[in-house]
Amino acid sequence: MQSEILKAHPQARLRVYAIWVPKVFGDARHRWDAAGLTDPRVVHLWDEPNVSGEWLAANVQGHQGGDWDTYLLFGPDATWTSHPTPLRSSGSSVAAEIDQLSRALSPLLTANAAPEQPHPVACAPLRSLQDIVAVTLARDLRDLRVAQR
Amino acid sequence: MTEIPTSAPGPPPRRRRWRTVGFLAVCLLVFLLVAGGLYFLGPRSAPPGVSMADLHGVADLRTRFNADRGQVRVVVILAPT
Repeated sequence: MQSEILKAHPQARLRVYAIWVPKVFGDARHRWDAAGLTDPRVVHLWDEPNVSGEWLAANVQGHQGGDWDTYLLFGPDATWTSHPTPLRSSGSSVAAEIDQLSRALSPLLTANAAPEQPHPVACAPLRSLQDIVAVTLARDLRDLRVAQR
Repeated sequence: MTEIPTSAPGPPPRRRRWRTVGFLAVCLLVFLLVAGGLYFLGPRSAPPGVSMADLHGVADLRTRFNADRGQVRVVVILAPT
């Protein structure tokens, strides 16, 4: 997820809710290491009672994954009143379906791209009188050559 | 008459060897249990600057989800191991 999605779209307006649940033997809060998800757009949440996955699996229409090791993708227009909708993509396991997630994500990010930062100035500013003289001389020399032709 | 010296009483060599093998097997098993316990149950830590909040039910997730409206959102359910 970190490399395929987040690093691939560093400027994208994207929020990832990484919900961690104690699902198998040995799972515990103190065993959490973020699994490499260090991007600031990721919100890590610990779901001790392990309710969110089951709820989403049971209530989100069209969800094609399980109640854990699964993902659900929503566009920028999605809202959650009784349940989050519309679902754009889902699947499990996350690792197995990461390409599917990436494909479904790309058009949403393109449509919802963050405003681009202005490009850096193409030419460096003049820093001294010496620079100004050099530029002026170069311009005069060019004009002279043009006139000679 | 001189007495012929006999060896010290004890289990036969074959039995002794099995005892040694058994002892080493128990040691190995204990080592594996301790190492496995540390690996599978020992604490881990997240990279600096990365933290985790407690999720207070589905309503908490809904609040966060709606607060981030306007952004593409991905919900992933994962287990620490």
